[in-house]
Amino acid sequence: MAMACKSWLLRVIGWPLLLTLLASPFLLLQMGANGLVYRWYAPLWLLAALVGGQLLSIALQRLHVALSDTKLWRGNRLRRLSPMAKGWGQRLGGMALILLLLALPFLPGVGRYPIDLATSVLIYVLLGLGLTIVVGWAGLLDLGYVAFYALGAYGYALANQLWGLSFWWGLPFSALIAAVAALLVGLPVLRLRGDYLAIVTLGFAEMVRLVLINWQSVTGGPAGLGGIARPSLFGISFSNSPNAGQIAFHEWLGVEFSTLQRIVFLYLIILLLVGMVYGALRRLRRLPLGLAWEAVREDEVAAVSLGLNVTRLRLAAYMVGASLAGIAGCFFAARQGFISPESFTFNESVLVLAVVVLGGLGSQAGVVLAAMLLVLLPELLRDLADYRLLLFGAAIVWVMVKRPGGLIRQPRPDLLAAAQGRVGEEAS
Amino acid sequence: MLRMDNISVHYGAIAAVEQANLTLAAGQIVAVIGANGAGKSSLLMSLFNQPRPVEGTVWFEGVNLTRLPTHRIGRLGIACVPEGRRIFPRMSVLENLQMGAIHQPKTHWQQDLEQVTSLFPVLASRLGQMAGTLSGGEQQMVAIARALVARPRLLVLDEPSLGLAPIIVQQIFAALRQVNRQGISLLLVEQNAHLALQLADQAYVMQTGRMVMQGSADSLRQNPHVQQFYLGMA
Ligand SMILES: Nc1ncnc2c1ncn2[C@@H]1O[C@H](COP(=O)(O)OP(=O)(O)OP(=O)(O)O)[C@@H](O)[C@H]1O
Ligand SMILES: [Mg+2]
Repeated sequence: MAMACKSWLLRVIGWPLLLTLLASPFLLLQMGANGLVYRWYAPLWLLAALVGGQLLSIALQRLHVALSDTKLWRGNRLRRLSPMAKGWGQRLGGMALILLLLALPFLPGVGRYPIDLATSVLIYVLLGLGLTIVVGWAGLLDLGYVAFYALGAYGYALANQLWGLSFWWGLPFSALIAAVAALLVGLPVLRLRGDYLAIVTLGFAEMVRLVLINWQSVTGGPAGLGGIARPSLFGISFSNSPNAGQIAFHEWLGVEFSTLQRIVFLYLIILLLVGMVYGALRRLRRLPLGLAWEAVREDEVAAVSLGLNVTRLRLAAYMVGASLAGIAGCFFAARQGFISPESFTFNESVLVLAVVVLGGLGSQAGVVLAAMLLVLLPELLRDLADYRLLLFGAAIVWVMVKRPGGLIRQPRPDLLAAAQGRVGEEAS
Repeated sequence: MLRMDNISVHYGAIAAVEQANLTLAAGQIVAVIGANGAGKSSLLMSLFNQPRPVEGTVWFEGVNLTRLPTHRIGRLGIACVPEGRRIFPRMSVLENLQMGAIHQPKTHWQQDLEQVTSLFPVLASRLGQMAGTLSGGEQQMVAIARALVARPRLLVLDEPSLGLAPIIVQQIFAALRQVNRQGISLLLVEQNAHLALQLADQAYVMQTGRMVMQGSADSLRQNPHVQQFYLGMA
């Protein structure tokens, strides 16, 4: 009884509270007419909305359990969870979240800083989703994931400078470059043993970084590359002085020029990218390829004797993961307009790996939460200057002690729903 | 159907199997019995080139398996229930079965799923459960079912009775007999010689890497040496 009560409280109060805390930097500060305004009440609104939403979803779930046919699961401890009902609540919650994220830049009082910060978070979500395929699903330890991020960024920057490749073509181009690099690195290594990958990837990332620094004539060396083309929307540019053949957004709309327009546009792009990748991975996970990756991670010998080509599966995971990093890199380059090797150090690999591990090794929702935590926390702690990293580390340790399985512990949140969905189909 | 000629398996300097021969005709149940460390598992896994035998050839329906990579062998019509089950613990029972059927056409799935759940009815109510949380007996059933949905013509089992209560073992062996009646040949490695010799048509006895005896299961049951050392009779 006590247990049930506790999990109930966690659901209705705990999670909304955590989300509110994470979101509060977005909400607390507002750009007013005369400078920054502090809005202490804003998070309370969000909290109220989330608690209300949770209560509603629980009510719906109860209703559904009461109405649905539980014959299939009678006497089974799964029955109480009624995955279908959970699917309902989740779907509603997911939809609300998507709407909220889409509307975020247009909410009154949300200024440049929160949108910029959210964009950073989303880049790490994208990176985390890519790495979660490699580490969480396929069980390969990649310590040099940043290499593909760098290749994507430099790939787009150079192709843009040399051939005038636009951002939208840059996305698939960067993905392709990263995937080819993953193929070349992975092919000789993955044929041997998965374990060697960790060392080789570490070396590969360092190699890429050193090449970027030393190949001055092409990469600009430590000074980096600048003047990278920003994304445009069907020929509409978000700069003050668009190139020939392009229209400026503010002129097109007949409003005052502001760099905020571009920032919002970038935010929407990365939101779209992350949303698409998130949805695709959710689906992929239940397809034979996603399941086969897991099978290889769970038991290589059993998998191979069932006829799964372990080497090829691992290579595929490695390449898909890399191509997502390439896409993230392309976006990063287009957002900054300037890149240098400094952005692609080992620290970055560690940060993304931390996102994956903290998120619960393989949980997609966990990646989102962990990316928020790991990107926002250092921002929140900015005032503490020297103690920032110390506190940051302490926070990570604390989370891992409290939730050793990661923020979203269950490796397969969709497991029950998926199983019952299919059993249901077969029974009918 | 299956012929192992002169197979030797080495792990570095350790010779686990030495020049073993074995034949299995289509539709038969062949058992290999032997003490711990006799090399039974090594012999079985050498079918799948895990590890590849250092000498000898394995013929399966006219194909030389020793030249093939492991994952190709799994698609030829041989399925394996490995020692210690080796199910995928953090995947659901249903997903374990799906992995077994991954190279089968989708049209088979419905029928095959029904077939294995009628063979092991307890699995029907466990499809959504994580396989690692099943009891040992249920896990063994998942391992067998996972192999069966691959529609093998030869099913290879390594100690399916390991660590299970007698009643469950009886159930599993009854299921194996039923499987064989459907025309699937069985190659069975067992410590439990009683059960193995009851089920099998032909049997082999392995001792320190060598085949020391072979014959019909009945004749081996009558053999005084087998009775003394493997059936535990005085
Ligand atoms: N991976 C390995 N590396 C080194 N030696 C091994 C390996 N696997 C098996 N052996 C050795 O090979 C010999 C035969 O082992 P095997 O597992 O084939 O025996 P078994 O007959 O299956 O025994 P059990 O009935 O206990 O399962 C043993 O001496 C064992 O130590
Ligand atoms: Mg053995």
